[in-house]
Amino acid sequence: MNLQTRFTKALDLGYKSFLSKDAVKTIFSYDNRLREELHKECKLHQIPYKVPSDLMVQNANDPRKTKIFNYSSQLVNHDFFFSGIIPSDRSSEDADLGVVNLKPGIDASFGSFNELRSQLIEVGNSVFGDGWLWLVYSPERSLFSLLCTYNASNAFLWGTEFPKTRTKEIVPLLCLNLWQYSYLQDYGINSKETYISNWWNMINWSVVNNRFQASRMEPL
Amino acid sequence: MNFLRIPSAFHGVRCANSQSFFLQCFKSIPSRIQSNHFKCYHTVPEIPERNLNPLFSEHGMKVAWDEHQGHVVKSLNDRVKGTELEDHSMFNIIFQTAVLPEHAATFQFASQAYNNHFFFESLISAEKAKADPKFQLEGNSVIQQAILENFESKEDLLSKIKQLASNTFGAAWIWVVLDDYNRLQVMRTFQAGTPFLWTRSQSNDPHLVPSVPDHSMRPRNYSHVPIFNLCLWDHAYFTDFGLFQREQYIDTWFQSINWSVVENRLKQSLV
Repeated sequence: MNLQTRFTKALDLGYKSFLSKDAVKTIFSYDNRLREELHKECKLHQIPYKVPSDLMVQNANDPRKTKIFNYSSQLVNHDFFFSGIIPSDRSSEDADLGVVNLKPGIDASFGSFNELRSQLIEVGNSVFGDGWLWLVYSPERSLFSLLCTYNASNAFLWGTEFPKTRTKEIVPLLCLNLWQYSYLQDYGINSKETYISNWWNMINWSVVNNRFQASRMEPL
Repeated sequence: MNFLRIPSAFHGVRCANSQSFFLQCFKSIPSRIQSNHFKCYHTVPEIPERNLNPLFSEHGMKVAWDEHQGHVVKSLNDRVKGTELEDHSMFNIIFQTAVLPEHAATFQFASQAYNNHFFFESLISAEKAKADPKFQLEGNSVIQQAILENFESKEDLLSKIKQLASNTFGAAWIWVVLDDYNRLQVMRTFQAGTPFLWTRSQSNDPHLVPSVPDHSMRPRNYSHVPIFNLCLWDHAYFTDFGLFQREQYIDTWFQSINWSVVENRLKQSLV
C-alpha cells in the first residue's frame, strides 16, 4: 500500500521534531518512484507483481534480479520504518504502555532503556554509507539486540542464506532509516547523531511490543 | 608493490610538514629525530576548481566537499591520533588498516577522504571545459587513445558507466581503473571501498557474495590503479539534481571532467 494512504497525516504534519513536512514528502515520493520502477522491472523480467515482501523473499540471492530485490526490500524497509514512529496526530500514551511491557526484556538485554538509546546512537553513527539499523529479538536466546544492514538489506532475511554461525531466526521489531536522503534535508550531512536522538523520542513502543508479543505466541 | 605506478594525484590529504611526495611514499616507519617529532595532521586540501556549476552549486559544494570531507578528515584524525599510524600518509593508512577488522572504521574514513579528493581533483566547470581544448578529451592524446582502444568511443565509456550505475543501489563509487595489462576497466566500490586492494574493494552487493570466496579470481596481490572516479553517494546529487535524477547528474559529470588531470594520472601509471 502507498505510504501516503497508510500514514495519512504524515504529509500534512510531518513528524513533530523528527522529520519536517518536506523531508517526509521527499521520502514518500522516493517510495512512489521505487514502486513504479519495481513495476517496470517486474514487467521486464515477466514476473507477476506481488506485495513487495513476497517479491523480496522470492528474488533474494538471484544476480539477475538485483533491482527487483533492492527495490522491494527498500519498500518493505520504508514501511517498517514509518510504522514504528508515533503519528503526529496521536499522543504518546500507547507508546508508554508498550514501554512497560518491554521493560523486563530490554533491561535483561541492554541494562536499561537509556543504555539502549546510547547504543542506538553509537551504532547508528558508525554506519558508514547508506543502511538501516534494526532492533531485533532472538527467540532462541530470548535476547534483544541491534543489527546494522547496508544499502537495501534487511533483517527479515538475515538468518536465511547466511552461514550457520548466524542465528537462524530473528524477529525484527523496529528499524531506522540511515540512508542519506532521510536526514540530509533536515539535519545536514554531519548531524546523524541528532537525527537518531530525535527519532528515539518518536518511537512507537506499542507497535514494537505488539510485534514482540506476536513472536512469542504459539502458532495455531 | 610497484609504487611507481601510483599516480601522483593520490596525495589526497596534505600533511602539516613539507616532506616531499616520494619520501612519504617510501617511508614505512615514521622517522623520529630527537626533538623534532613531526605530526601528520590531515587537513582538508584546496581543490583546483571550486566553481563547478552546473554539477555542484555553491551549496552543493559545501555539502559534498567542505562538510563531508571536513567530517571525514576530522574523524580520521581523531582515530589516528596517538597510534603508530599518526605520521603516515593517507595512502599508507589505507593499506595498513585494510585487512585489520579492528581498524575498519579508520580504513573507511581514510579511504573515503582519498576517494572524495580524487573525485574533486578531476573536475572542472563545464563551460571552462568547452572553452579550452586542453581540458577536453580531444586535447589529451594518451587518455583519448586509451579510451578508444578499450571502449569503442567516449559515448560507449559513458554508457558502460551509466549501466553499472543503474545497477548500483546505495552509496558507491564508480572507477575507471588501469589493470596490470594496461587495460582500462570500469569498476564499482560500495561505501568507501578502494580499488587498490582486492580485499577492500567492496565491489559486490552483499546479497550476491558467495559464502566461500573464490580465490581463483585473485591472480595478483594488489588490485588496480584508479584513473578517475564518480561519486554516487546520495549527498552528491541530492541537493542539485534530486534523488532519481542520477542520469542527468552522470551526464553533467561527464561534461565536467578535467581530462588534462586524468591524462597526467594515466601517464604516470603506465609503466
